[in-house]
Amino acid sequence: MTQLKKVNMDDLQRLKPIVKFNSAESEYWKDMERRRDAQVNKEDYRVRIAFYKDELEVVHGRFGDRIAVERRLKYAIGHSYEWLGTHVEKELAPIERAKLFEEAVFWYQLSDETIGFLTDFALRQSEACMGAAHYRRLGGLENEVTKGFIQRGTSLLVRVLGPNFTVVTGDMPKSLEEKADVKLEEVVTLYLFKNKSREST
Amino acid sequence: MPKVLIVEDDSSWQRIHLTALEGILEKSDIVVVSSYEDATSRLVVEYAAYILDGEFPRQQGQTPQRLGIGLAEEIHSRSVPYDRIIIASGNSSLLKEARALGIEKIYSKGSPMIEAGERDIQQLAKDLKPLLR
Repeated sequence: MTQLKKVNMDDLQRLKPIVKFNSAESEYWKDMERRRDAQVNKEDYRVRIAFYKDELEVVHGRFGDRIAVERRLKYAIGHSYEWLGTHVEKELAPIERAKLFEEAVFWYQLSDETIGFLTDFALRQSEACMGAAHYRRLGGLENEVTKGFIQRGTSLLVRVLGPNFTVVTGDMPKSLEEKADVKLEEVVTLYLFKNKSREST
Repeated sequence: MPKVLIVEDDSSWQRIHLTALEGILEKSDIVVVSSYEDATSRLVVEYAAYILDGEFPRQQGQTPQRLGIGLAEEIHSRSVPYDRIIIASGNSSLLKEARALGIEKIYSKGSPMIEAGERDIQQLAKDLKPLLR
């Protein structure tokens, strides 16, 4: 089932050792990053995505039933697709660009499904949903599925952060950033791209 | 990758669909999502078969919309033929609309009573088998 629930404080304590790398996983991750940086051009996000997908296959079963590496790799794939759609492939037709965000949505979702809970990764998924909707609209796809992306983007925020906030455009409100402090690990911040200007709509 | 995507917000019907797939597929081959919004997170994956509820949402006080049809059209626009899409609905005019679109495997939800459910399961299993070969 993909209906994930939000992490509460008890879940958080239980999940921390699951998602935190042990020494073998840390070693693998450092080695993976070394190999990635040696093999993949820093700006070539399509190759980077292929690299992560290969790694996902390679690590399958390597750490027994532990899912920390698998989860983080899935997140890395989602993040790379989102970065590609946001900052790299700006010349793509809007519909094709929307598909990059749809890929990001999918991989962020898989990442959370790995542990069975909505985590702070869902905040990135929310942003990717909005990106998908934005470029679908630019491409003339103003239909129920486009609205579905917007609704999903909003409902993920509500489910993770709670109902008492307002989504605004522009800079992230300080209060929202503070709420994001309740997170599983340091790898995720609420707005990874906050120092990059988003394209004007 | 999983082989069947089920988009269904009613847990009774989710169970009926899953029962239909028992013995045909492993659980890991089936993805169940509970709303058409959740289905948006799966659009980039191509499945062997799709079982879509015709109407959403089911919450009290809200008017159901024919979002399953829109979802079917979206999936079809991604080069998935309509013969791999099954629409399930208790609304006969919606099923007519699905058929007009080119969806042959429409699946009329009767009452989720045991007898009706068993009949539906048999039909659904019959529809799905050729898609999963």
